[in-house]
Amino acid sequence: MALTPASRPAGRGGGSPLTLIGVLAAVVCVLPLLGVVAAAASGGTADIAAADLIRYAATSAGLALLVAVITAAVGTAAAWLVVMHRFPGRDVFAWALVLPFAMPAFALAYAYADLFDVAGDLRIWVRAGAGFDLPIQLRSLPGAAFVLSCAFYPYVYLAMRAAFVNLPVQALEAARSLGCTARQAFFRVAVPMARPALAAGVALAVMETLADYGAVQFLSVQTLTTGVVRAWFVYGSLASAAQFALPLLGAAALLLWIERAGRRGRAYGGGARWRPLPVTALRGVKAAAATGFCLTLLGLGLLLPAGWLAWTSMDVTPEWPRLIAAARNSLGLGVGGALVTVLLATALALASRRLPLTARLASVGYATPGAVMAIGLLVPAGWLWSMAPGGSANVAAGILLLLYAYAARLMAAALEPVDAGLSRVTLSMIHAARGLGAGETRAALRVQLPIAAPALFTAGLVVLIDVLKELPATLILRPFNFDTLAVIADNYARDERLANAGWPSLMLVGLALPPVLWLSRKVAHARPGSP
Amino acid sequence: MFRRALLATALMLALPLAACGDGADDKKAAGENGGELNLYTARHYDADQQLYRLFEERTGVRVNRVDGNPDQLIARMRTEGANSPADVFVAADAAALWRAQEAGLLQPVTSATLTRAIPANLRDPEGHWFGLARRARIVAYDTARVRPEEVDTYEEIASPRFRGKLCVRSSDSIYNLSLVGALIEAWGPEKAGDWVRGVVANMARPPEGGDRDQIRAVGAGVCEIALTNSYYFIRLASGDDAGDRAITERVRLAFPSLAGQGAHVNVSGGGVARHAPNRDNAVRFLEFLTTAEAQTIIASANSEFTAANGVANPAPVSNWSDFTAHPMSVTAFGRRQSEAQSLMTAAGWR
Amino acid sequence: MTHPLNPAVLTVDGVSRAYGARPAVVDASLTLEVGRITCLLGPSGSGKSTLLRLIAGLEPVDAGVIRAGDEVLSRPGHTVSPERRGTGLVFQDYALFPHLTVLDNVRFGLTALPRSEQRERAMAALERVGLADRAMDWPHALSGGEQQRVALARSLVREPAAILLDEPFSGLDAHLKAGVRDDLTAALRAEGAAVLIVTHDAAEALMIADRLVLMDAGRVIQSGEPVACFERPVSRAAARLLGEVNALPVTVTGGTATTPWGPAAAPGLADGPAWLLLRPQDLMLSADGPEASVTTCRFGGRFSEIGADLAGHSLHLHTPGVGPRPGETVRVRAELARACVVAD
Repeated sequence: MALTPASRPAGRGGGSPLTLIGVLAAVVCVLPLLGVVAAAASGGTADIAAADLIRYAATSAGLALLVAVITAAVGTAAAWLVVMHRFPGRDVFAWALVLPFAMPAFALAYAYADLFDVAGDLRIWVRAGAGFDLPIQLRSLPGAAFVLSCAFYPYVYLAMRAAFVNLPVQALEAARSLGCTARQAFFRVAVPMARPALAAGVALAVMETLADYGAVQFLSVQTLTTGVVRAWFVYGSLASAAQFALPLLGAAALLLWIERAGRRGRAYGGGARWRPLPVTALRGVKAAAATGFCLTLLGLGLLLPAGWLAWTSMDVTPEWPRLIAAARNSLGLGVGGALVTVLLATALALASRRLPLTARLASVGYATPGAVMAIGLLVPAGWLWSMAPGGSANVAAGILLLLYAYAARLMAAALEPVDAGLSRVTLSMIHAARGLGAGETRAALRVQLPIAAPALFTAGLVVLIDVLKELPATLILRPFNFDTLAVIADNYARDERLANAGWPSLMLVGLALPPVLWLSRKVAHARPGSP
Repeated sequence: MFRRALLATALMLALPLAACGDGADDKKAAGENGGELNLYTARHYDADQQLYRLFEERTGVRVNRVDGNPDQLIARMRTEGANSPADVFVAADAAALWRAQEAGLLQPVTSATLTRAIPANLRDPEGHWFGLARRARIVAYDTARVRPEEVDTYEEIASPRFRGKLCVRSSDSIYNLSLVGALIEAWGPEKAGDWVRGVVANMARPPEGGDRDQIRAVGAGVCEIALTNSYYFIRLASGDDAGDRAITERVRLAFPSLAGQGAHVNVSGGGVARHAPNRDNAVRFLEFLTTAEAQTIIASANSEFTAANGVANPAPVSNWSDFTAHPMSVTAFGRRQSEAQSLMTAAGWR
Repeated sequence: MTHPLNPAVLTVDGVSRAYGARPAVVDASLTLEVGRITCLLGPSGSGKSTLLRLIAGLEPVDAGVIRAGDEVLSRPGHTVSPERRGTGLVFQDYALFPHLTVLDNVRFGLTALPRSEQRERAMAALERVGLADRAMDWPHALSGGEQQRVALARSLVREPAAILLDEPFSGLDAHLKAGVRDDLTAALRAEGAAVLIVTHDAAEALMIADRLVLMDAGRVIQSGEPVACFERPVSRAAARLLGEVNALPVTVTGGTATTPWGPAAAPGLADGPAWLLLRPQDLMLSADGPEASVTTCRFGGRFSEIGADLAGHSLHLHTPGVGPRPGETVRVRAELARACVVAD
């Protein structure tokens, strides 16, 4: 991220309209978290045993660690295979491995829990045929780690792929001239140089793991989020719920810092002309293994769970009018959320060149667990509802609230591409525009925005995909008679009607696939030097 | 690229506008007729859609619905404060209704229809809320390995007979909390505590999944008995899935007795919200739900037992409705809830 | 660790390399000798960096042979991999590994040795380049010149038979260049390896090279001692590579060319049109000599640059101090002894 002194225009104290909007955007995003802190400070404790609390924290930590290790290994291996080798299907896998983004984690959880259910068709068939039972306990910590890793490995894959593609070939050649074989050069030079990217990718995967609402609960794994939910709902103590949320917030802030630090690590020595990486062609067993590995990843992350959901839903006739209305709502909210969030992110990115703290604060929402955000979001919700005519029945107020919640939660996801896009505009270009008579706003509108537009579009796609999958904020803030596909799927799943949950889940995947495809092809064809 | 992005964005802008447009038209139509009813419901069963449509047909009152889990709804109503548009709060468990009452979110209702229709032990004495459908929390057992007399009291569930052979869901479940609350009410905290510890010792596996998963686990031989709500079992037994029905050939329902007085029975119910803007419609709605027609729909569509006096249980529920229900007032469950949670946590019931 | 191949000489023989339809290096030959610095000089796009990469083994040759002593390093269809060639490589941007300290960078290539010896040798190499006190620093904390010295130490510590440097001075500030250049060449000579330096800076090449190789459009157009190349270029292109030069069309008859200043020797040239090459510093304003009219004159401090027209040909020359004004007529004398006649 180009929040370095070199790219900041000479600060002359705030006051320009853009900076003001940016600061406002930051405040708006930070408000829910302030709400959590305020609630925590308002005293009161819940009767949750210390032993339980330690168990929750240990489970959260264990889950995070497992997901970190699995996604790091799997994502790096996939990126290494795809970038540095040729094998059958490699060109397709390059972008297809990102497709699991279209599948929400909770849908993955439903599918796998049902597939491996002890009384399910598969296990019965295996028991009848093989005589023994599969020792798979999916509703457990390792099971949850497996499901979440399937859902989130694309983060690591994308980060490492970018790192390998942008590797300075000189470093590898220097290593070769110093006595390393190609393989040694990779492990001794390429992998260590890609470490910041690995940290960033893993941090994102762990952030999503901690923030998950729905999948972990469904798999009966009790994490700190369980503690938050119990304290709030069972004991009715908002204060103690918020207190349990604080370590989660701390972890979120730490992860965010790691992710940022990782992104700041630029490709080393980009002065020379860009040269393509040396690529090894695989043959025979090795090629088959590579193709098999990539196919397995794609299968586990998308094809198998989606296929299973489709299979179980085949006998159920869905309520089409309701589902279509929900699909329209999901899409409408997604597009609206994308527009609002990207707008605010742009203002924030422009303002954060003078005040970097604003961007950092606004990003914490991304790593905050859904249940915690829900607590925090009720504060501004209350204000808005008390001001709107008809209270929370007011559809406009409800939708506005949802868009606000999405912006607060997803700001970090939009900020990264927006900031990268804006930093393509060099300081000289801005000064040139200013020298030609454009004020700060006009320079921004006529020079920075058009150049950054493709990156802004990317940011919009990312937010759209995330909003389609969003659950906790939507559940608690939505107006009357207003369901999204995610909400309907969750309702059915909680009512133990998995077959019914399949249709809305699959429709969600269907809606999310085009933007994910678009996004992944953009990234696949990106060359160094372009956004 | 910039132009394409702009065009795409403009096209997509049309979508949310289209979505909002439809909503506005519907609202207009509703307002012209009998008014509105804002329903906050924690029941998320499809069958309820039938009820709302029927109510709208009969009275011309449009039902606006928001659903969620009871605590989210309670938190939302609290946040909304005096400006809350909620008219009726419906929950699937008496404890949730009690919590809403404690939070000051419900108002007392005097309605002869309601007090006549719903037995006294199934509603709040001051009329803050009324039970509208019953469910029993009882035992599903493997007929091949368990005899019915081994599960005819709740004490037996926690006895050493079933060490390592019991499946039950998490202590988070409000249904379990209400059951233990009822046990505390009937036996006192000491004996209830012993029971809870006995159950924990009897667990075949750490709690996972919902009631239906526990029944299926019995069917798969993972355990011999399971604690479950009656309607989950009845749904399996009378549903479309042949595999599920097959399970209920071998796994049967038993109604254990609590302190010799009958099985633990809980209610789904509703109450009128404190700041209800459409109070009259709210009362009409609750009264509607106690009519024979509505009660029959609830019972047959969601496999719950009727709550209103004098309304017979339809098939298929009628196959199981012939049992003795414990006469305890359901208001006890909410009162005892945090005690129940502490007991369960102390015993290690995850 | 002296490389087992230990060639006294590295020979490049008629080597060609093309990228698709675009030839990068065509029929290039040169020889690297122990203890001598060879400079490969040419404009950007002349193929000099490609030739360096071919010698380093980073790319295969399409034609020709590269040998180290008796061993063939590269020929069409066979390329010994870079790590086994005994060549050290120092890149234009130094390519230090950012994740290793200076010391770890230097001992990177010594994995065949026991750790203690690695440290010893690395520290010794750092001392030779004067950076022993920065051993535990990270590369990004060093200045450009210091990074270059570390990159050099990193290559030298393996005692390669040949060291290849790609534009080593182009990334340095102007006022640092002289000092770094002197230090570097001293260090290189002390090592005694065969050195190839690729550069586009003629002045630099003339100052440090023991042997000069001029490249243009993928071909080697001249090679030899710097003074010889400067004073006796084989063509206009070769002359221009080494500095500004005036080229006047003349006619050769019987080994002599007729110039405005009299006959000039043109040994070995066939009769016909040719070119007279005169450096600006070999022309001067004087009282006698052919007339020319001044077209431009720019005062540059120590001397002025004059553009003049002599019988239809434009000349560039220098004169100390302030020069004549445009439009004036002057007389120009030439040091014919220092001139050169070339066919092309």
